[in-house]
Amino acid sequence: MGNQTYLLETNGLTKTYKGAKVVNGLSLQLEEGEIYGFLGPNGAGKTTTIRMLLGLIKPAKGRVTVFGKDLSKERITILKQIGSLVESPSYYPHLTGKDNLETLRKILQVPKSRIAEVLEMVRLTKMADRKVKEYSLGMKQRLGLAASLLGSPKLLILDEPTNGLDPAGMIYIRELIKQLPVKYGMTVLLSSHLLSEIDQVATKVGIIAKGEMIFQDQIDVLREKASRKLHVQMNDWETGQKVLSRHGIETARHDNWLTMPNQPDGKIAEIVKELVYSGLDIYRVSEEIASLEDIFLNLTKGEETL
Amino acid sequence: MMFSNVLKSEWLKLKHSKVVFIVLASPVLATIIGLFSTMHVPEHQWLGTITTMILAHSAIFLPLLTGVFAALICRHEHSGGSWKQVLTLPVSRLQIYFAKFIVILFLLTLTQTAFLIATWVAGTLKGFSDPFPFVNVLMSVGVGWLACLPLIALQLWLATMLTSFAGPSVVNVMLTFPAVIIANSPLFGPLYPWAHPLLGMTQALSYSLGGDAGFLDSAVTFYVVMISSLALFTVVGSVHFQRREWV
Repeated sequence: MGNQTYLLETNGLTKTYKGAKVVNGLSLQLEEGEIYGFLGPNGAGKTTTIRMLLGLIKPAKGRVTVFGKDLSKERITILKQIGSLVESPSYYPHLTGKDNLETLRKILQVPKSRIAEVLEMVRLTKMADRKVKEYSLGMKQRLGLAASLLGSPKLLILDEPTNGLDPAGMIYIRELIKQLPVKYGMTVLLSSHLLSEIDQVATKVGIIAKGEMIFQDQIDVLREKASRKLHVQMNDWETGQKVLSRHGIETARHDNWLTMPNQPDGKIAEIVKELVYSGLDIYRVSEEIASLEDIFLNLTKGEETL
Repeated sequence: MMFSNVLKSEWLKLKHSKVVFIVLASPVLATIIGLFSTMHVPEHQWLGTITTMILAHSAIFLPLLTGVFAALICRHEHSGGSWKQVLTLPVSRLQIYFAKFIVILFLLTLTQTAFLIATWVAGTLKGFSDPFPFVNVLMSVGVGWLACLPLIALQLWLATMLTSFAGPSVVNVMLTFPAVIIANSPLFGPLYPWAHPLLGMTQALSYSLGGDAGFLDSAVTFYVVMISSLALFTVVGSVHFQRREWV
């Protein structure tokens, strides 16, 4: 261990509220340049984890290491290079969008021109001089995103960033997030309770349920879990099953359907031929693709029954 | 990160907050009260009017104001959910806390300065011909400023701890009204922070004129209580702010 350096890493992160473990032994690894999708149902412990990553709350157990530094010891040095948007957007309603960012800029000490840049990035330039109390929820959310980008951070932590956005805004923000690693060398961790959100932007996925990490890997690995199945419907399943097992294919039965793992095209043609030669009537041949959503539901459902 | 940057950031948050009306409220009311004051001190043309104004300003408004300023300075962090944004900036929590403290002190300075001007305005409008006792009022205003520090420390602690604008204000109002009565007790007055602005301003005025308003048995007790309560509330408030969980 220790030879692989992660941009962000947690070890056995645990948070307890009133005796209940809200986050339990969470180990999360994030490499530079990744877009890490932190996925889980509402109440699974995503926001609690994110608050611990930012030092807003202290873990009961475990450690957070960011940029190779211990968060509990070098919080301020680490925070210099982190931009964040936690839960609902933060704002001063009586100030304009520009002044809201200015309160942060004075502390972050970035050039004034950066305010116009980030407002442009989230398409709020036209609203810059309007008071934030006049903003819609989606605009406030975009202002929060602009605030997180203000300090040109190395790591961006976004908690449900597309909350409150209309569909067009969602698509735009998703595209913006996708470009951040490529254009600005940022690494992004974003949380969501919707798999479709994560699926469209993330390169790596961590799934949390009941405070525990139940899956963490590249998104492609998750997609592979989306196993395909082949269903064949016929008049006499018993004969069918015998014929297929002679060819080394194990099947499961449901009514007069036989279900087997998906096969290459040539093999399917062979199976059908064999079944027909055995005198069976084939009614239907169909393929089933489990969606990522099904996998997510299965993963998190499994957790609940434990 | 420079502390002055945190201060500038806090100052900017007061823009459009109409805080100037709050700063001027008590001096303006005191002026009106001063204009109608019939209190007359034989050898001193200004003294009756100034005393009336000091009583009105320091017994009720000043203690209330410390609470209003503290609540105001934390109001938008609570309502707009900005604590989590402010506290993930690369500055220590103590810097944030003391930047807020200093902004409140600055607002208090403005109020006290406005009050000083208000006494001159009231007397001048009444056509007083004796020279304005500037040094005496300045002494009173200065000690009044000092006497507000423990209250400010306490109110800032409450305002950062309770997540609402109303909470700390209600507590403050309830504890301010008995101050007038408690201030009359030479024993309990110095022990009660809400009575301190009244005690401080009246005593300082009379001492500077070579008299004694008679509110205090011992000025030492007053200053010891003031300094130790300031230290206590500041330490407890800032340590709590630094350690608390921002859920």
